Amino acid sequence: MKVGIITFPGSNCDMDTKRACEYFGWEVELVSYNQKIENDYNIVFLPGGFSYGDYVSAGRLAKYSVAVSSLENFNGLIVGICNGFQILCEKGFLPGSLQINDSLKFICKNAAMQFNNKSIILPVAHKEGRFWANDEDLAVIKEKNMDFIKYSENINGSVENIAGIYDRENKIIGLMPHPERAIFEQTGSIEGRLFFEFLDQEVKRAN
Amino acid sequence: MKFRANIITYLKDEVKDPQGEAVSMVLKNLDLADNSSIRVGKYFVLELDAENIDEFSEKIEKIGGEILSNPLIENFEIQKVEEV
Repeated sequence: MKVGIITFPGSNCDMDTKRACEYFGWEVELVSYNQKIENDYNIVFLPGGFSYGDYVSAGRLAKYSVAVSSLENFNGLIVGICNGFQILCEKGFLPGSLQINDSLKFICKNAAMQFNNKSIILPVAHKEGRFWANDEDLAVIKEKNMDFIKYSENINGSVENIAGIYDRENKIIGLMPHPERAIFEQTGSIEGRLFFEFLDQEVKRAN
Repeated sequence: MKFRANIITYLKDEVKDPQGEAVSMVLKNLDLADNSSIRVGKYFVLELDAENIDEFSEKIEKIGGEILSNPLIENFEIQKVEEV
């Protein structure tokens, strides 16, 4: 398994994602936002953080970077975590958008969620994490069972408790929680491993 | 030639605006307005070079509609276009 992680100016979860991938023995390359993404990766991650300072809007400016623009021709799996999810929605790779939390607060805690119908706890850390989609997009999300991860308790006002979506057709995943921060015992939870194991299965399934 | 324009962006009516709701609540608490509707937006002042006003207008339509706003959730308005 070979994965690329795009580092934007303002990314701060790129190294966590790298260590998580290395835990599974995956070969990891950090790729600059200014570089084209080659097609030899099985997965490309858009990590969490504050790309371009989240200026104008979270994820808005990163979508014009060389790396993200080149993803239009990428054949592998694209995974956006937190800020990466915001970028994928802004880019139009995934339906809907991530907006300011109902509470107007930055939420930073471990939250219970349903992941592929399993109950797990994952760290969340975001201010613009309230998923919203118009009726048309929401119908598509439900029809194609894209909402693979949902909050058990709606912590930020997301429509249908959606914490992440997976477009299986185009092989694009976006989620607000941080599975990469729940890999090692030292960080209090190892349930994030389930997500990475899921990615491994999805890559094997596609090949 | 250099032109200037002001662009504002704000959430569409069908999109919930928690910041606007918070301001509205403050107005109510201060007895300034019982039932107000507030939309919070952003304000951009742009200056850029263009051959003429038509080319400038074309550019700022694109900038306002694609970069400064997300057409799925936000409206944008171009105000006060002038040569500087």
